[in-house]
Amino acid sequence: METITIKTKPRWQGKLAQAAAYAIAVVIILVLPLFVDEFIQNVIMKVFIFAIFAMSLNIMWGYTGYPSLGHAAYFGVAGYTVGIMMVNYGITNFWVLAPAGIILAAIVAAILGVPALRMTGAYFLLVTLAMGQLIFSVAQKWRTVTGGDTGLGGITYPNLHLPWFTLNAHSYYYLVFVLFAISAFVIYLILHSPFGEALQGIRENEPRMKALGYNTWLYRYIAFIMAGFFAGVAGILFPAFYGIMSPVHVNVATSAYVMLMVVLGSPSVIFGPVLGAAVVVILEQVTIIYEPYRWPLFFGAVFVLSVMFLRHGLSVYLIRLWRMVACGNPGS
Amino acid sequence: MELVFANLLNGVSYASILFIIASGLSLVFGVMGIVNLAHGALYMLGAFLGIAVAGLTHNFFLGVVAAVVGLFIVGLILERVFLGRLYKMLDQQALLTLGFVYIFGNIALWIWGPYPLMGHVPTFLSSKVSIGDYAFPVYRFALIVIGLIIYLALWWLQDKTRIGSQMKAGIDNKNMTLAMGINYGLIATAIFILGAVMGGLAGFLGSPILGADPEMSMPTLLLALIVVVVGGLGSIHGALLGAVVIGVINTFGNVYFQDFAMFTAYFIFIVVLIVKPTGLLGKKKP
Repeated sequence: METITIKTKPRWQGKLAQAAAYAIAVVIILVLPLFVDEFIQNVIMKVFIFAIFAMSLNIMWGYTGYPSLGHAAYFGVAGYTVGIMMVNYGITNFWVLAPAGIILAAIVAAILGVPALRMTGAYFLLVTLAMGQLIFSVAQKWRTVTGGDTGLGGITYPNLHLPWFTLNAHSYYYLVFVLFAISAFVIYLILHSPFGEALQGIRENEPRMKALGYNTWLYRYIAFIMAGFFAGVAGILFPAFYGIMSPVHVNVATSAYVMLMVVLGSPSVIFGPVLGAAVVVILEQVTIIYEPYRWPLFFGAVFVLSVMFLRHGLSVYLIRLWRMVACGNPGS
Repeated sequence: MELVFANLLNGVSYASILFIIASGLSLVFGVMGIVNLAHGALYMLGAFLGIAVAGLTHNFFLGVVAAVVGLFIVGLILERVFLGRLYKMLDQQALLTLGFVYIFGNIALWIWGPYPLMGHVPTFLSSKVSIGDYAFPVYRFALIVIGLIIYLALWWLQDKTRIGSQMKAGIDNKNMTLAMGINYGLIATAIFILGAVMGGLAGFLGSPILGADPEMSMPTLLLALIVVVVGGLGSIHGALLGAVVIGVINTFGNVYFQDFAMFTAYFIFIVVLIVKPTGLLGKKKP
């Protein structure tokens, strides 16, 4: 896969400016709910949830070089776990629901990863597509547990059991943001650790990494499980946000939705998918306001345009702009 | 026993439709190496175009012509404008065609609405043959015959003609083929169009049985992929074998354990990919 490497060593002014930018962004996000209405707050929440999801896909896609066509499976497993425990068994404790959903998603990834990673290239695309549809069929056909095509309705906000913080339509935003921030930070640390560097080495030249003594299959397998794990983090946040979990959230349409975020945002940039998530979600909301039935058409068109003309993604251009502003030099 | 025989005939005629869809995908994916995720969408377009024209003109054959000509144009545009620029870029091809799934699906929804349409069998094929207690439509026999004719024609094209050899040469080494003075670009376009036309034709021929529905692209694509991969990529015989295996299993599955019919197909698919990724009759990896 083609990538653009961006030198990640700006001068110290650049670093300071970067830290300041992050701080300003966090402050804006924290005070924003005081100034905007519920609709916009929901849009931002959706951006955060799908940003986690898109970053998780990018662990496999951008950093390992294996684009998965069935990534919604792990998102769906976590979402359905939360939904089923809440609706069928009445469990509302967040500290039970969240680990259960995330760990189950990671376990499913660990099981499906073994056969999937025997494949390369086109075969990997196909096998992940089929596995995604397999999980989708389970969600659709296991009616007594998943509610079939109508889905699981009546999912409410989980209980955090904290005396000073109860979750409702308003405060859920902060939980989503905190989990987004933690996930983004952890994914950043992982991908910039020796493990992440090795992954990129394997992506670029597997025979050489093997010769250097790396167990390349194991690295890829761990990356696959981590991708499932973070898709699970997004998955546990989604049901309470949306109120319903239905088979659509497991099938290829949802996988394609996050894939567009990654393509548009740049698979080669660590926070690219976050930008992609913001662009896609905002585009979707605007389209739905004006042309509610034409969204799939726009969605497909943006997909085609970004593959044909924006192959490296928007982030690459933004980073160049940022270098010019902060360091006075566009870099390489 | 008669029930089993009737189901078997149903399964084989269904397999015939599957084979026509899958043969198009096998040409494009197995021989040219293009991951065309929009193949199911082409099938859907063929079904809708054919039903619309056959409905307007009350002529089944004009429906066939509409599906073929319509998909010829769509295939030409897809290959010349888009996929031709993405030679051997697997990920990009997959993403591009995935985008077209949504574009075509929404256009079909826009024009023909959300409700499934059924095609009509031409009058001279609308009679039924009785097998024991069961009345078996002649159209299904006709489908089996059409499937066999297409199988023989594609076999001849791939293995016995000059174009077939040039097409295989181009996939092995495009530059060498071009250096030999063969217009590979033209052949690639022609093969892609042939694949698209096969998809559209299958859509219309299958529409009296399977109907046309804007949401049918992805399920159809998956079935075709399963058939192609189980049978063996790039092998026309494999596509036939895969279609019969999956068609018969699916038909019996639908009768005896309805909820798990699709399940069995996915399961076979994943097992074949793990145990023998080249499929039952495949020779090499593309």
